[in-house]
Amino acid sequence: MTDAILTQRLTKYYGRRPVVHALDLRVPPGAIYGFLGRNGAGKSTTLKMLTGMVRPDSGRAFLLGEPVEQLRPETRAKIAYLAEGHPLYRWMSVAEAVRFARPFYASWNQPLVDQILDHFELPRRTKIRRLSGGQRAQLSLALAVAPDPELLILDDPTLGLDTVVRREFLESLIQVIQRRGRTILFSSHILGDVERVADRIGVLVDGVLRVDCPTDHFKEAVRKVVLEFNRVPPEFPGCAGLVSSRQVGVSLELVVVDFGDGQRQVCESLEPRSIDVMELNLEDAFIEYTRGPRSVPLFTPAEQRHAEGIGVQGAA
Amino acid sequence: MLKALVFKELRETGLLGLLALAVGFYNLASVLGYDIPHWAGHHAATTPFIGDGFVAEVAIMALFLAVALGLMQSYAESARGTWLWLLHRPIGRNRVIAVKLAVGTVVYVLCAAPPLAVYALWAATPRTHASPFEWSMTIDAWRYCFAMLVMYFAAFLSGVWPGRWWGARLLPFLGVGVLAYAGSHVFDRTLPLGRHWEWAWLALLAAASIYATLFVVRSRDFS
Repeated sequence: MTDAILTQRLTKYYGRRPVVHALDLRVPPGAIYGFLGRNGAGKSTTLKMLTGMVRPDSGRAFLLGEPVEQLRPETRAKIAYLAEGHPLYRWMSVAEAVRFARPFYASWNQPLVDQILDHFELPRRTKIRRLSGGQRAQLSLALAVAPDPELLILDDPTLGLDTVVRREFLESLIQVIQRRGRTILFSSHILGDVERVADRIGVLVDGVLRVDCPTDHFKEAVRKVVLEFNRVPPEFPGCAGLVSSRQVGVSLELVVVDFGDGQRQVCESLEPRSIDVMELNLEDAFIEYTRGPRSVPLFTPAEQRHAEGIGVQGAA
Repeated sequence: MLKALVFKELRETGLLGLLALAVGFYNLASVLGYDIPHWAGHHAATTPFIGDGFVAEVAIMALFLAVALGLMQSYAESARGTWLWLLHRPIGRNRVIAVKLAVGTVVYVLCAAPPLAVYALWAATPRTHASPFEWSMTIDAWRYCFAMLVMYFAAFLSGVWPGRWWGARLLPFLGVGVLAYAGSHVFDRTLPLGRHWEWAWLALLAAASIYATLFVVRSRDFS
């Protein structure tokens, strides 16, 4: 089956800095993929390269089996893209925006648009410039799903929305997702949103895809290990899957991927008073994983394929 | 879908066009001798199209219209971030730009030409003024009008030009302006039938600007 999204060593430089570096991403049909990363990690640039708005310096991207730079209009009609900030023509009313978008598509689910507009109580005659950020997001979503797209690419769709509106938006998104076979790639830096919706996540750190695995597996694989000492903790010698280690008082706090017997032996060799292994929620795992410099990349997409289920990227 | 695009462009540029049309006719009314306040002082036509300042005024107003129209259709999409929305519609980029330019051209012509045409018709009507009139006397005015259409294409190109600062963005506009001006002088003075060559030169600049616009929109990043 053709992947909904496939990139091959996709790279983009701004000046001399690689914003996205050799990105190999594969999103199978029907997946709901949360694309995570800190500000400036390269999420938006990646999504813009996927939609053809930004040209990669090297590498290729395919959407629904077609190279992005040669997407036929019929294929583009099957792809919805919500750009960051939900740009729409502010002089148009809600009804005018719908009337403007409709003729571009051979298939248009007007009852669904009406349903979404009614659900969010978006007044048809109100000018878009008078809508709140949340209402603009809701209108964007209505316009995006009306042509019944096979693939939705959403660039931080809940950015700037308050908690209540964000929850409403995500619930609508979940309803939209329920159509079988629809693929969704959405970027976000709000982990709660991703946890609620995505069945798979990718974490982009400084333009490099460091994690690509099922959401649950990421949470399960990343562990915080606290070693308590009666003295000043020694330097941690390192072990497989170590993300970070830092000294806090008489403790050593480690973040480790797939903590197992091998890593435990290394910990015990330091003769700590106690070893506590703690689960992390997605947000904590993400923060631990993305903060601070790491000299050696833990995972690469290539390694993922050969890791036989070991490591965050290893599980499918 | 083209109808929807045309309608959108007309909605966005219509007000500017109407304003330009109103200013054009106001200026014309002054030239025709109506006693109304005028920025250049009251001036009724003596010999139409010659020595009445009308052609220069039309050229300046057409330039303002051309620049505003070109930037409104191109740079405004960048400023609002709506290129991302518009260019993701299932329609080729060339068609989007072609529709924009076609609508812009129509708006420009409909707003810049009528005051000229009315003035020419008035001048051609016997007993409206005490001076001779030949249709060839209007050629300069039409040529300026056409030259400013070229500047509209150049302004559009500047609006999509991916410069980091305004100086770089305005480069295409200034370049076309300099080439158009230089061409008018060179052809006029060096070639037989120089003015005819000037029309061709302007048409060439227009074609080059349109081609460059299509190329830039196909190849630049929209971020």
